[in-house]
Amino acid sequence: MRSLLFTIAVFCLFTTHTIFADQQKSPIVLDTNAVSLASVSEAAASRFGKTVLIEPGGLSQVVVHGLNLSTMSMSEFQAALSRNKLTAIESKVENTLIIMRYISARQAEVPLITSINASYDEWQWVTMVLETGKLHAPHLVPLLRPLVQKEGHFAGSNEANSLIVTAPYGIIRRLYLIIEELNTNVDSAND
Amino acid sequence: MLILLTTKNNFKWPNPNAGVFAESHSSYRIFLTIVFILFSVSCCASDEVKAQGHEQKTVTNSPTTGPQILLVELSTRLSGLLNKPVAVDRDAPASLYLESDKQPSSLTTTPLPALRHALHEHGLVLFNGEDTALIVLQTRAKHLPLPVLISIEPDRSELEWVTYISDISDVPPKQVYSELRHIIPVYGHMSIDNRARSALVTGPFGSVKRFQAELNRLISSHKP
Repeated sequence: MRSLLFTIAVFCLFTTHTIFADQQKSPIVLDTNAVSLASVSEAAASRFGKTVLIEPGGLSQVVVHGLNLSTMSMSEFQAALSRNKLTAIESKVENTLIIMRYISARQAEVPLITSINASYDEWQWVTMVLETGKLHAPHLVPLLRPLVQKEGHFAGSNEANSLIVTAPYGIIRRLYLIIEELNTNVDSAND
Repeated sequence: MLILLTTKNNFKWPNPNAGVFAESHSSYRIFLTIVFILFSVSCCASDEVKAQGHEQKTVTNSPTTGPQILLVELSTRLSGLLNKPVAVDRDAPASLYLESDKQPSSLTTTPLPALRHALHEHGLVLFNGEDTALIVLQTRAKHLPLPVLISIEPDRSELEWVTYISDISDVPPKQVYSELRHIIPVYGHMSIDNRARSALVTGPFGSVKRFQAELNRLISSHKP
């Protein structure tokens, strides 16, 4: 019994040492330039004249290097958030923005857009139903799914021959252009 | 365990009723000494292995002879060149190495292609967006709103990431996939749509150009 306890103690000592050694050796990342998310949200609130809420359970520090908080535009703000896997979504409550993690974005009330010419920021999360024309939507899922963040949503409807995508607007616009071009190639292949 | 087995016959555990380690004082000291020595040796070996690993990583990832610069400084320089804010991935490394003949002070005069190259050497990609440029990890580059090309545009930088759609109606799609997939970096993307007879490729423009050149070679080999 005592030998077992001793072996466990020695094992714990080794494990603790390994963990601490690994922590010391981990590469230095830009976190050293991180600022608190609260200060960023305060800056956004005064810049855009909106109430900015922060979803609980997310990051407390973000890297927003290159962003002038006092003069930033909404698209710059969204781009900087995207580098931290965060996004800002307009709430149903008037004049309110919610900063949330990518992982929560697809379950949030993101705008449903019907046209690709809508004036949205590249990094603003939206949902769109993309008609695939002469292409079979379910067949496109394995082809195009890798181009969308894993936190997004990407599904093919057989009946409607459409893709349902929730992702940043810039990504959806790229998918739209790809599908359009593939349809053109179907036409030329049939000719 | 080995120690416990070898010392089993003459090792006596301390008896709490008989004073402080009275009966087994010497055995216990020997045992502790051996554990301490083993622990120290393992620490040294572990540190050495990690140091070697770090050295190798440095050698493969960057020209170690070059001066080190902060990514923050480089992004500031890029911001000036592109005339737009440059946002940086939170997981990007804090510092980079420039080419060996460059000095950190020359950063202000380093042209855009050289900066792109330095980023590429460190597994990073510069994405020039509409309002904001981004420095992102290569592993995330295919999730950017990249430009979609249908022809090879000669003016583009070799290291700029793009999505390219190519017509493969003259070649069997399986052959295209099996023979050309390796041209695209592992963090890129390649898929074939049989109905549209098209290949969809996402990667650095240099790889896309090589892909198209190889595809042209395949097409010509299939023509009678």
